[in-house]
Parts: sequence; C-alpha cells; structure tokens
Amino acid sequence: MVKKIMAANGLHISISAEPVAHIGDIAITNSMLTSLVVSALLITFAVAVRSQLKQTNKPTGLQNLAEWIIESMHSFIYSITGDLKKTRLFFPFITTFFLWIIFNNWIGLLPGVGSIYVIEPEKAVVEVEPVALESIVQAQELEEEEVVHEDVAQAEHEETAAAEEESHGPAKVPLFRAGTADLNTTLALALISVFFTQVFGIKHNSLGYFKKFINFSSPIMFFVGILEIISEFAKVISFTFRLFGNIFAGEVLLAVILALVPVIAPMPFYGLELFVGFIQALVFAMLSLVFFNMASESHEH
Amino acid sequence: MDIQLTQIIFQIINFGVVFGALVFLLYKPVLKIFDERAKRIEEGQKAAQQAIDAQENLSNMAAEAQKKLKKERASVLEKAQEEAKERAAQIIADAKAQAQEETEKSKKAWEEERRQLMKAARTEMAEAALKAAEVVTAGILKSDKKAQEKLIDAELEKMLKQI
Repeated sequence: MVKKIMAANGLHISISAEPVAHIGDIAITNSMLTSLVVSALLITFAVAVRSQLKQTNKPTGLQNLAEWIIESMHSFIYSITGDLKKTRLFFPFITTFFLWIIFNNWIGLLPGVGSIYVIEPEKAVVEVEPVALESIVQAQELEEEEVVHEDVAQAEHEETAAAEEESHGPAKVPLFRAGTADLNTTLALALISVFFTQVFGIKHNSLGYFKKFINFSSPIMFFVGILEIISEFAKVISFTFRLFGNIFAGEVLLAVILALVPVIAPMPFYGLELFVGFIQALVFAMLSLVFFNMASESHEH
Repeated sequence: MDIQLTQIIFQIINFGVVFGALVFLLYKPVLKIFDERAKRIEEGQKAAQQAIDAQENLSNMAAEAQKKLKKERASVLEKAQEEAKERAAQIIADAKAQAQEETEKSKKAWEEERRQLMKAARTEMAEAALKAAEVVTAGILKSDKKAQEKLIDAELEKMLKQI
C-alpha cells in the first residue's frame, strides 16, 4: 500500500517510491524508472567515451572528462589504500558507487522529476470498484433482501470513498523520483557494499577472515567477534538510512520551499542539495573504500 | 517504507549491469591508456636521464681533454722557449764569431795595406833621398858648403812631411 501526503496546493510527498507500472506482479516504481534512466545515461557516456578513446598526451572532449574523473577517483582511492594493487582492485566498485549515487542524487533536482504525474495503477483499479460493486448489488437485490441491505451499505461506503477520492482529483503519482530517495535502492547499495567487504576480506585473508567474527582464543575476543558481527549489520543499516535520509530530506525540503515560495527562494536550497548530493555520494564511496581496505588488511597484526 | 525484495534485487541487478558496462567500456580502456602513458613518460624520463648522463660524460671528457691540451700547450711552449733561447744564444755566438773573424780579416787587410803603404813610402823616400842627394851633390858642386847643408836639411824636412 502506498502511503502519501497530498496537500491542497498539490504538494506531493511520499516516503516510499510509488508504482508507475506493473510487469506481471512486479511493480515498477518511479525510483526504479529513474535509476534505470541514470544507468542508461552512464552506459551511454561510457560507450561515447569508448568510441572516441585514443592514445594521446593531450586528451580532449569526453575523453578529457572521463580521464579527469577516473584519475581523480584513482588518486583518491590510492591516497587511502596506499597500495596500487588494492587501488586497482577497489577502483571499479568505488567509482561506480560514486558515479551511480551522485547522478541518482542529482537527477532528483532536475525539472520534471517529481513534477510529471501519471495515474497510479493501483488507484485506477480502486476507482472502478464502486461501479462493479453496484452492479453486483443490483444482481443480488433480486435474490436476498437482507444481503442486499448489507451490500448497499458497503457500496455506499465505497461510493463515499470514491467521492472523496474524486474531490482530490484522480490519484496521481510522480513519474520520476530520485533513485536514492528510495529505501530499497539504498538498501541494495548497502548490501552490495557489505557483501564485497566480506569478499575482499576472504580474498586477502582466506578463511582466517572469519577469526574476526568467531574467535575462541579468549572470552574478550569472543565478545569482540559478536560485536563485529553486529557491526556488519549496523553497516548495512547506517549505509541505507544515511543516504536515504539525506536525499529524501532534501527532496522534502525542496518540495516544501517550492510550495511556499516558488520563485527565487528555492535557489539556495538547490545549491545546497547539489552539495549534499555530492557529499553523500562521496561519503558512501569513501566508507565503502575504508571498509574494503580494513577487511583486506591482515588480521594477524 | 516499503521494503520489497523484488525492488532490492532489481536495483542490485541494475547496479551490476552499470558496473559491468563501466568496467569494460570505461575503466579498463582508460586505465590502460594511463598505464601506457605512464610507461611512455617513464621511458622518456629514462632516455632524458641517459642523455643527461651522456652529456655529463662528454662534458667531463671535454674538460679533461682541455686540461690535457692546456698542459701539452704549456709544455710545448716551454720547450719552444728553451729551444728559442738556445737558438738565440747560438745565433749570437755565431754572429760574434763571424764578427771576430771579420775584424781579424779586416785587421789583417789593414796591416797588409799599411805595410804596402810603408813600403811605397820607403821607396818614395829612397827616391827622394836620391833626388836630394843629387840636388845636394849638384849644389855642392855649384855653391858653398853652408848653403848645401841648409838645402839638404830643407829637402829632408820636406820628405818627412810627405811621409
């Protein structure tokens, strides 16, 4: 069930992503759609760069931009790992996290995202329900009078609900919503990050990595192991809610400011949200990198 | 806050696809370019270092050659100076010897000439004495004795002056 707040002036704030289409039983939410757009844009950029990539000492255009991004990220990762081999291993994950998150954050600031509405599929079905029930009631009226009374009461209730719904206009949902303003997206990212933390830990320490969690050498170490297990779950939760909270809060802030003072006033907040979007992407990427690096260090020392 | 497994799986797959595409289309080729560029720069630096070393080597060799040349020049100059001194001394000695020889030669010639002149003078004197004697004799024959003596003295004095 979609929970939403629809203000009188058209302010639409929903804490969860809303379905804009269905493929079978799978609901396609607006955040899924937006993150698909972001993915398509990133892949298009990669294809464009690949097609004009050449061996030169003076790169221009897209190649220059791509080299700048990749070199900056490479230097950033190397400054934390201090090891070229580890840098090359972590680089694709960290850079993809950063680029995917930053563009998912920033796409929420574009005009059209959150302001183009579609009829919510679930609600469209609900609006038809009273008519169907009415016809059923009419058919049953001939058979049982008591049952008819109950059905009429129910139909009246549904009609009232439909009338209430109609007074607010048709149920509409935004077609696009920033990918990272959806808890499912941030949870997916957090799970990927924590999963690869374990993968790198095992890769560098083999089974010795699990000594971090299960250690019977002393009661203190055993207790520390339990804390480590808890901390892995805490990582998922903190990753998920930090990113979601910041981006969703930014969207709410912008929606409220836009509803209150639509001209000029939102501008500084847009600047702030651009900054927040960048910082949150950087924080996620940096924390993932630190966790990868920590997991890949030897636990013998 | 609807947490739905299908949406989480969808986002994981979505991220995975982007990850794969970026790795193969962007990261690998660009990092390869970086590596090749770094290699080229390293080779360039190596070549530049080698050139610098070679230049230093050449400079050292040139300096050494110059030093050697200077030393040789100084030694050649010294030798030449010594030779010149020796030659000058030789020339002077030769010149002195020649001058001495010439002097001796001219002295001898002069002595010879003097001797010839003296001989001629003596001959002339003898002739004059004969003449005087003739005159005196003739005078004696013609005049007195005193006058004759006076005449002889005068003739002798004249002869002496001529000599």
